[in-house]
Amino acid sequence: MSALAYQLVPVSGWNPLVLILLALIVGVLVYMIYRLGNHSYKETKYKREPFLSGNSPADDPDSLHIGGSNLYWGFTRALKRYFEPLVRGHTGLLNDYLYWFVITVVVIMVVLYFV
Amino acid sequence: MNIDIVQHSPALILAVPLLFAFLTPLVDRISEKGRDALFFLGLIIMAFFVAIMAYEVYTVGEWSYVFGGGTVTPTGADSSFFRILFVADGVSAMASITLTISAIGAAIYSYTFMKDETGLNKFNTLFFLMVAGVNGMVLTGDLFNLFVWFEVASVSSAALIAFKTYEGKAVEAALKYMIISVIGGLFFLLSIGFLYGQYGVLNYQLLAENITGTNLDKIALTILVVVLALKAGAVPLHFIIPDAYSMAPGSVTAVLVVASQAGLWVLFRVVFTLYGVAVNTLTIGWIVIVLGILSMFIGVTMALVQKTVKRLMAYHAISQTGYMLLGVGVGLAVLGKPEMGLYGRTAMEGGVFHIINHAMYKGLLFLTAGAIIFKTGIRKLDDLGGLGHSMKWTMGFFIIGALAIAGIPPFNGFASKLMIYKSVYRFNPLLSIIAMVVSILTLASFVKVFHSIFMGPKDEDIYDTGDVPKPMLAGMTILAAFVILFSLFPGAVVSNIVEPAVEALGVI
Amino acid sequence: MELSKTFDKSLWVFHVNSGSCNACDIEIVASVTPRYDVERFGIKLVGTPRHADVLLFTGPVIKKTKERVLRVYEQTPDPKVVMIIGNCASTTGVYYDSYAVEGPIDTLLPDDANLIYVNGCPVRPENIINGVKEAWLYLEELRGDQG
Repeated sequence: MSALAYQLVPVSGWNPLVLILLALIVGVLVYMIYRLGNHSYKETKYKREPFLSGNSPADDPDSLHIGGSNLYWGFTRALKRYFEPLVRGHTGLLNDYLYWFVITVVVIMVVLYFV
Repeated sequence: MNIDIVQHSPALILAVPLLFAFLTPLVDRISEKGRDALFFLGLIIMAFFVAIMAYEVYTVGEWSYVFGGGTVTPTGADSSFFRILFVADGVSAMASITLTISAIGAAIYSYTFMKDETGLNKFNTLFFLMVAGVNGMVLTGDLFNLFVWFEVASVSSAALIAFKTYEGKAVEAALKYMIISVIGGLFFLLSIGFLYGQYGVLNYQLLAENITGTNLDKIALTILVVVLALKAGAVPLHFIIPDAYSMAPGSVTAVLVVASQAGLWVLFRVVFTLYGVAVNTLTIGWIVIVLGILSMFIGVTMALVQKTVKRLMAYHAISQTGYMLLGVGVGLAVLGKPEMGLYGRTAMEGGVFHIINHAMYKGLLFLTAGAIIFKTGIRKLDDLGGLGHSMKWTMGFFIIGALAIAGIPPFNGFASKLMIYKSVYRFNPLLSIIAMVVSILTLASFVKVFHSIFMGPKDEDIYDTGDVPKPMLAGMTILAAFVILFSLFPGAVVSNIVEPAVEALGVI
Repeated sequence: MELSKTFDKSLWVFHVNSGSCNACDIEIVASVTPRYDVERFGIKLVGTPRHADVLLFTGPVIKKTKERVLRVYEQTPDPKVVMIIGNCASTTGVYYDSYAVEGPIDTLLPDDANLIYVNGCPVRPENIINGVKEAWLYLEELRGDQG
């Protein structure tokens, strides 16, 4: 292995024994922080349900979980000018796939010839 | 009779799946359990031969295997001129190991996954043929033989994609895959024709000695690079990958990943071994780098807007292929120059290590996606939720795969990505920064998928106690075990498996 | 429930109306206006009981809101104090013996709830501030018990 590679991924850094020791130390710290917590927690019937202004979750099951395409909508909306042409370019038509193929061949040929 | 199994192992690696592919329909007529047993038996025997070949390559060295016996001589009546050559070197060993691990994991998984399907004898046959085709692509040392195995792999992959028809959508995807592969194969044949017409030889070794950088060679190189990038799924030739990966059954997708990577291996052989310094490697290196950067960025941004689990993972596969192209492209750009020893070799090692890492964690992710679809029947992210309550093992495997793909230490994705980041930074800092941003976007995308599928309260519509059946968990465990193994000992993997591959490509 | 020493600094308040005529609610809002200003003590109205330290209940508990009031009480994390604002909440006030009324709030809450009663119909904002002062004294006493 070249010298630079040894600096990049030094074998000793990934020594499993070191990792296990680190995990144990972190575990002890976590336990100490846990001991500082409040021990008067009591589980009651509604305590862990999501807060829906006092309504029961069974009345409106769709409101319980936000997932799928609703997440990151802000990110996609903000970068609309990049995403819309990109998604539109993925048409799904076989003809377009082959046009891209031909265009790539031409571009690379031109680059290889002149450079 | 003195048969040297070790010397014959490249041929045996190919002969075993082919034999079992054609035995399967015959045994199926007699008993179904026999067919299932034959499935595992064939893959285990193939794994045995792969192990023998890999051991020999890593301890003794590489060799060429000539079909028809005799020794390899360049000239003469019995020369390698007229023979088909197989090459057993670091590249073949590494690719065969990757394929074997993926195939065995997928086979154990499909024992229950495909249990309710009819026509399973055809599935097993096609699976063996695909495995044989992919092995052939990386083992061969001859360009036309490569084309033959390329076609075998394409045809069987296309048929496997259409296996579960999903109301015709899978058939459409398979049709598109078939047409693209056939056209790619025809262009491939055209470029082989260019090379054969000029030099009159077809195997890598002789061609590499004779090749010069004439214009026709450059045209042939362009076509070869583009066709192999098409097979591997690099942008802007990636359009077929999401369709094919999302419509194929879960276990097939895990092996399709390795089949696409076979295209990448062949690309590296063509560019390094075949052409080498005959063309301006800086130009072709930058072309590969640009393909890599485009793949990474467009792959991950398209993945952020997807609404179906498997399509999203397919776009991530495209993005990770970009990492491999980036690492190896940097190595290619400095081929023959003194910077090679400085950072080029590490970049190549990072890119090549990423190939086997990617096959492991991506296979695992596709198998978990298949498990979710098996259990709930739902493919869209919007309808899923709260599966973490019932599918705990699947969730654990998904976490391992998602953290590995995002490049979070201490997983194996981090090891190979770190090698790529640090060496590419010394080549050109902007490329490394783009790679890091893509890694963060990958993590973002997988956090989204994880939350959508597994988090949230129990959804009464899709809640079903219990996890997927044990064989599916066993298949996922195999791949997860290899992910963790490679995470704990990346140094050992790099020096034992990746370095022989990089040296076999001609990089000293 | 355990009360820490810092519990009476900057109490965050969640307001629950379980069937009142809104007069006490308007007075609660009036007490955060600049004239009576409880915000100078760091007391603010929050939008979810998960953030709250103090629950303000107004109005008698009517049959439809009975379960909802209990849910909101349980979804507030410990430690918490309940302030019962107005005559209708502590006794049922003018709604005594109505067909829709379940009863005063303190019949619904569990035994270990910390209750402060503020009387009035409607409660004057000065009385609410007095109630806050009583709450602080009560909490000191409770902490004294706990040592």
